[in-house]
Amino acid sequence: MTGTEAVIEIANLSIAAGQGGVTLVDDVSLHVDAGECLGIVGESGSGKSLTLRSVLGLLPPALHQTRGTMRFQRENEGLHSVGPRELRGRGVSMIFQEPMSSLNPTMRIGDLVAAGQRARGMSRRAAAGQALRLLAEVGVPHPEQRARAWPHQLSGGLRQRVMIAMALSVEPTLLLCDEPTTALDTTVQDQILTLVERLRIERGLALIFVSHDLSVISRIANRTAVMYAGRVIEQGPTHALVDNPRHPYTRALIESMPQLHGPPTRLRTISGSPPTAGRLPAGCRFAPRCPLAADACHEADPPLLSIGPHRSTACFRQTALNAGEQP
Amino acid sequence: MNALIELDDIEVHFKVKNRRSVTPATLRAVDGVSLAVERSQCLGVVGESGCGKSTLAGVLVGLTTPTAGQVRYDGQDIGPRRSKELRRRIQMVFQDPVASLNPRRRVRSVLAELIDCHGLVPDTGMASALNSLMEMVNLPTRVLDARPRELSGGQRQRVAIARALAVQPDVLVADEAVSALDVSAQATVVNLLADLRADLGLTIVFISHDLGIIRTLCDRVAVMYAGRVAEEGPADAIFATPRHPYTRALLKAAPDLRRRAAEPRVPALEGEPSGALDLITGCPFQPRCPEAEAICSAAPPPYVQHGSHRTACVHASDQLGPVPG
Repeated sequence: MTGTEAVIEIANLSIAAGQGGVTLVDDVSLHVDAGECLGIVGESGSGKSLTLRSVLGLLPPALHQTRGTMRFQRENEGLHSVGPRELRGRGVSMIFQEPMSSLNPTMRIGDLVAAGQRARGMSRRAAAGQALRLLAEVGVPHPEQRARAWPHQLSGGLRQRVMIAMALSVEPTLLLCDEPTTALDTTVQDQILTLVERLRIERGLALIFVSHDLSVISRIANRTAVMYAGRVIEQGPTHALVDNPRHPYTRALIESMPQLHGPPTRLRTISGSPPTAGRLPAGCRFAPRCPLAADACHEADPPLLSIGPHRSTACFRQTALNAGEQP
Repeated sequence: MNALIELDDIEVHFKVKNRRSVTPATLRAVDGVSLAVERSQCLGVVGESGCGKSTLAGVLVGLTTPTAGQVRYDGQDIGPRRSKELRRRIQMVFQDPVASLNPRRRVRSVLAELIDCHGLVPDTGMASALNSLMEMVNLPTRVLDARPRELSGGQRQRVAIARALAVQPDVLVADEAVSALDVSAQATVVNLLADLRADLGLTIVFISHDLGIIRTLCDRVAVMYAGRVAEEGPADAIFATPRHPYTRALLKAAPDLRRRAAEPRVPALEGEPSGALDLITGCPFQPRCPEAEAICSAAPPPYVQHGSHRTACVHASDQLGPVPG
């Protein structure tokens, strides 16, 4: 399915703590096409952020990648095997959740945005000019004034816009987003999501957007991967996945979310809590909490199998789920 | 009306030192808020950061002294220096259970101390009181012998709720009590609060930035903006026919699982809330309001009352239908 238009392909990625230690991300394969937004959704500890960080080699020192290959599309070169160091600032940028701790507090906004191109040898004047254009592009009002401001003088929404401008300054083809709107207010989150989507369309950017909130993902992502306990358990076009989930965990996740419209309903709860890494149950990782679990589910871990165009699920019982069997 | 808790024109102003001037500036955290909560009702308070919703929670439980206004409990004026009995009746659940539970103490000792302090249960009945408390919040009794860090986030927040319930309160003030939890744990705690209200007749003030949870849990909603109540009314009315432009923008901006591409690709609202330090003469929302007119910057808009639904917007009366019910 991954045509030549894939920007990045990650295959069989595994991440573990220490040498021969606990596996935190297990055999994750993903790809993103040009101009496409892939959403990764999961609860805390599901491995979604680690997966994203490993693309640029930003794993915490105690963790390391034990398996996996990465291929990246460069202009006129096709997909090439690459390591994280070859991607940093060369085609791939990243934005983070907390913009204040990601911006150098001792540098002015304009210098922060210009730094990427200055490091590539652009003249001071040209880099400053480009920074102003980028600040305007991401919707910072009065860019000339703001370029002289310090990070602490900006609001959370403006800081996030500045971080996006910094990310864009090196002309990436892939932008990695690690919960960039989680710390923001509802109306500001809406502004940033609109901006990111506009950049994807106008610049043809490919995006990987990680969030714990499926409603944010459903707003921004074309395709979604659901992660649970270190594995991708379901993948598919976002709207199809939300309307017709094919994994009991995805379904439970959707039903446990409060709805804004229509009469209030009681939320669905999932019994138990996610397994701790290192103490995974035998068989399917969701089986102990799954209302549909059968004997087979406790014996083997179901592989992620294709169940239609662009859709895959890791569930032995997905036909039962599909038949409308109510858990 | 049989209001259990009433806030009457509450004002909380803080003096803040300002490097640029000698006279301290005034931060208007809460600026003239009146609210009433009936017995066994759940009032949702929603708003963005800095709107004063947490300060309001502090006023309710007596942690913050209002600079003006009155708090009434069961018709009686209660000041910030409250009797032990009153403090017992109004309890609070905080956002972060890690910060609000002593990490060195087991759950049993935390809860027993409270019950003991208020002399609610004789020593011989303590064990069974603790067990029934655990049952009330759907936790196994073995949690009593755990320390907070041995529990999951959802379990910890249920312990925090048990801590509040231990002293048999009438009112629970929950300040962003589920915001730090994962979706599935969040659902458990929201359902628990709904059950407690139904079973114990608990009165709940639920403060949150999350409209979906407010919708699920609350029967009345107050929308706050810049220290004031922009709109207040029955939850059904607020969500179906919001009258304040801010409420409408908030509903439009909230991501929704079911809303699809038809939505316009422009943000629901531009700008960010102005700082509480800025002096606003008119409607506090006017600088961001898409419907603002000259009159909006002249004076703060009075409430337009429509049944039990009130809106602080000069345009709210333009669209009134018949009073429902």
